[in-house]
Amino acid sequence: MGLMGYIARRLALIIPMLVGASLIMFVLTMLIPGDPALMRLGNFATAEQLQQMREEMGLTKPPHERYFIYLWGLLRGDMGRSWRTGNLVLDDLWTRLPMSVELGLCSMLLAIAVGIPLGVMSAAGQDSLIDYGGKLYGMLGVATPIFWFGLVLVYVFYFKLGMAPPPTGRIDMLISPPLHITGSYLLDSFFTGNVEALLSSAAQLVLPVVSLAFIVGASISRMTYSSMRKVLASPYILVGHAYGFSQRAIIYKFALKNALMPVITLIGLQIGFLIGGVVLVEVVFSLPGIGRYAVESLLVNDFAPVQGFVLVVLVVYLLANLLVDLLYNVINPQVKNSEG
Amino acid sequence: MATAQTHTHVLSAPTRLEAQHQVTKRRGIFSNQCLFRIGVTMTLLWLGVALLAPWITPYHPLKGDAALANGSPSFEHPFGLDKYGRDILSRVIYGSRYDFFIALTVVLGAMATGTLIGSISGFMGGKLDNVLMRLMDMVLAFPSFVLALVFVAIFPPNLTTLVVALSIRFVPIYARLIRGEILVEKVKEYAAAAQAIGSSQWRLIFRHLLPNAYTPIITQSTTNMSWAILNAAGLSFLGLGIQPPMPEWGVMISEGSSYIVSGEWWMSFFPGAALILMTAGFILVGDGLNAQTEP
Repeated sequence: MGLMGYIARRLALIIPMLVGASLIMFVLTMLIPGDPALMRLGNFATAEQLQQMREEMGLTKPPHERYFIYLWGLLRGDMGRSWRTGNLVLDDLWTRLPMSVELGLCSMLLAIAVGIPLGVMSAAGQDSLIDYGGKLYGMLGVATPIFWFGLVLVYVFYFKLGMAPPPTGRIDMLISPPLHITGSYLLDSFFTGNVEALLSSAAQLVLPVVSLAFIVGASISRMTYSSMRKVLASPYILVGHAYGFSQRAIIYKFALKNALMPVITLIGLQIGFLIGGVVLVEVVFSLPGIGRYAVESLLVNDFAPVQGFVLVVLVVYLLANLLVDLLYNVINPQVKNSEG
Repeated sequence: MATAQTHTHVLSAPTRLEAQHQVTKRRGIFSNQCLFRIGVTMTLLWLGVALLAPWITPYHPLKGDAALANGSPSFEHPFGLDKYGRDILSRVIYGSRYDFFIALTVVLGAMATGTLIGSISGFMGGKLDNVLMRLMDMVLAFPSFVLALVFVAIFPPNLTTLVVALSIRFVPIYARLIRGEILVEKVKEYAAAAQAIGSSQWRLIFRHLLPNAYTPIITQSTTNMSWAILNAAGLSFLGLGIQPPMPEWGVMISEGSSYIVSGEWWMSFFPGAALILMTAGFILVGDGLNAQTEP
């Protein structure tokens, strides 16, 4: 049983999760008060039209049959249609997903790049200025609401300093989006050599990414700090000192590797938090991602997009966690795959 | 510095408790003890503000003076006024009631449900235990914010929906904690003794087993309260939680958000700052308790 077998088994575990999630959502949608046929036709529909629509939508069939029809549709990629946008949910999600992934990924990378070094330095130099600064940041960061921090950044960098573009979407309104290849504006404009679009889409992404990374980075620095403190207190570090290794060598060569193990696991746990943050940040900065799509649909009781959103997010979330676990296995050969 | 401490404690072979004390010992304002005290003070202050809101607010939180709409912070209105001319300071003070109450009920609700499920699961064991725990795993496997989002999507947007939606994600955490503790405690002598003198199963759980399992629960709860506050405000900000015109902080930040680009910062700034101060209080208390109980 090698790594491939492990991956295959983990991937297979995603399927029952998705079936379970689809069942829960199906049951919950049945609990929604109101008639879906009436919602689609509007208040002026006649009783006959309503009845016809109900039959068309399959609402007259028994619940278990409806669930299997829904599930069969999902298997063929049919997530229904959004009556708000008039498009197929799958198409809507597909055009919006790259933006959300872009935002989430960039933020996570920045958060790691800031959080881990800060946590390490803070733990290594106890009672130093950087330690106090790091602790303060860690505390304030995890207590700060993301959406509020985003607004503060907009006020300071757009209104006061005029450095950032207005929070009005993924790219400047006067610049046409790059040719569609992957759906990610950054990658597409890079591949097509569209400098104007690349600069604009990157500039639009800076504040959203910073606001998300500020919060997630704070958690990561807190975790790194406590993990590092624990490792530094262990006997093998003492032995290192006894052998006369420099403080630098002890921290960066001996302690860091072990301290980062639990941090990797905890970063995996942050992914769920990151997804919530992406939704909020997309709304604050009017970014056309799947989070804002779901919230806007939710506010007008358009439920098919929300169901689609939940399933897509669940797939992304489980895959991201699988990736983190794999990374953990690669870095730490002690962990046997079968135990993961 | 830290290394010197490490040397002494290993060389003189102190007890585990002493070793821990030395490692975590800090001086001044950043010592655990001091931070814990600051946290408790902040939390108590908020509790006081929430309880005394009607007596300490200078203006009515819902009635505004349209002539003063969008007024910037002044001597009469230190936090400024919103688009309806309502005093933001008064609204921030009233807002503490919502968020404190939400945090408290979310955690208490989850604690009660989780304790019930965890004790049944741990005590009964067998098939029931298996089913309950798989169910809990399922809930845990959902990204927490999405879980709450699905829930508020379906039920009418009000306080009850919000509280239930936010507490669902904590139920498995408490259920697992309690189940683990019960599994450890129920094989100890005192549990057997209680059974021998004919205590009923429920009495055994609630009078004898649970009181021994509560230390980790209390520690968890303060940290969870900070999550609950942030997410209650987040959902309300999105329009999916508390609804305007209620002076909830997330709602207030949302109402002020469209004025940020034109420079009227105070409408969103002050409720957010209040939110940070309340959340930070809970986090500090949680950290302090953690430092005391962690081996």
